Amino acid sequence: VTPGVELNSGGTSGVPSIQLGDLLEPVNLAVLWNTAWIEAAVIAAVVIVDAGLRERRRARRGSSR
Amino acid sequence: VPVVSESLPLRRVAARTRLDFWFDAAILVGNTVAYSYGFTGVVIHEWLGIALGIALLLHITLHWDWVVRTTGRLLRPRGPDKLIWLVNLALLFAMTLCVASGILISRVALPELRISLPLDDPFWDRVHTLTAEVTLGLVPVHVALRWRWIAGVGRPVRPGPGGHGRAPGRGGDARG
Repeated sequence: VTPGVELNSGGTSGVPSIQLGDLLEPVNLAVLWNTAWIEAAVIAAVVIVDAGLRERRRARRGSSR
Repeated sequence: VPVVSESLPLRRVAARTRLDFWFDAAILVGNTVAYSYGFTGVVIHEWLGIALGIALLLHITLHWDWVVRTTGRLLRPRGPDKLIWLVNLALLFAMTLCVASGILISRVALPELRISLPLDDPFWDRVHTLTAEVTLGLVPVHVALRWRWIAGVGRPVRPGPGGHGRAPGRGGDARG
């Protein structure tokens, strides 16, 4: 099965007329999962780096007193 | 310290913060779904992209005070939020181009609105793909740079000495 929800009528015209079940097909869900994973990984990386930098700055400020 | 107007009742500030939080969360989810073309298919992808364009305008409007304030402080040597300002500018540029190029190459939504653009240029396809990828990279950075605000919204309100709680600052005031 090719990823991407196929329209059930009207070719590629019209407003969405799809079944929710189509979206939840494993082959389609895998694409969403992949995108969500990339975003979560970038968020986690930035948060870790930012928290580390803040901690280092705080420690430096603490030791200079 | 939350940067909120003292005259604003706390309840109203909290309501605005909640609005910012949930609206931004919806944009994040919408962006994730819209990027997953293989998940949505062309129809949902195009309508969701147009909705995201409108949401982007609303998001900037809601945080316009942050844009003005931070831009005004950029030249100060120790001015805050320089990195966030740059990321936001790049994201604005990429997302605007992404939505605009998506509209230009639309195969479903525009014909449905009885609008036809005589554009059959692969250039806009490439622009759309490139800006979508840049957006996918910048959106989580944009979110993550405000993780302290996000964590603050989830934290219960701390009671102050006068019995007043301290809520996280309004999205428009405390973040971009």
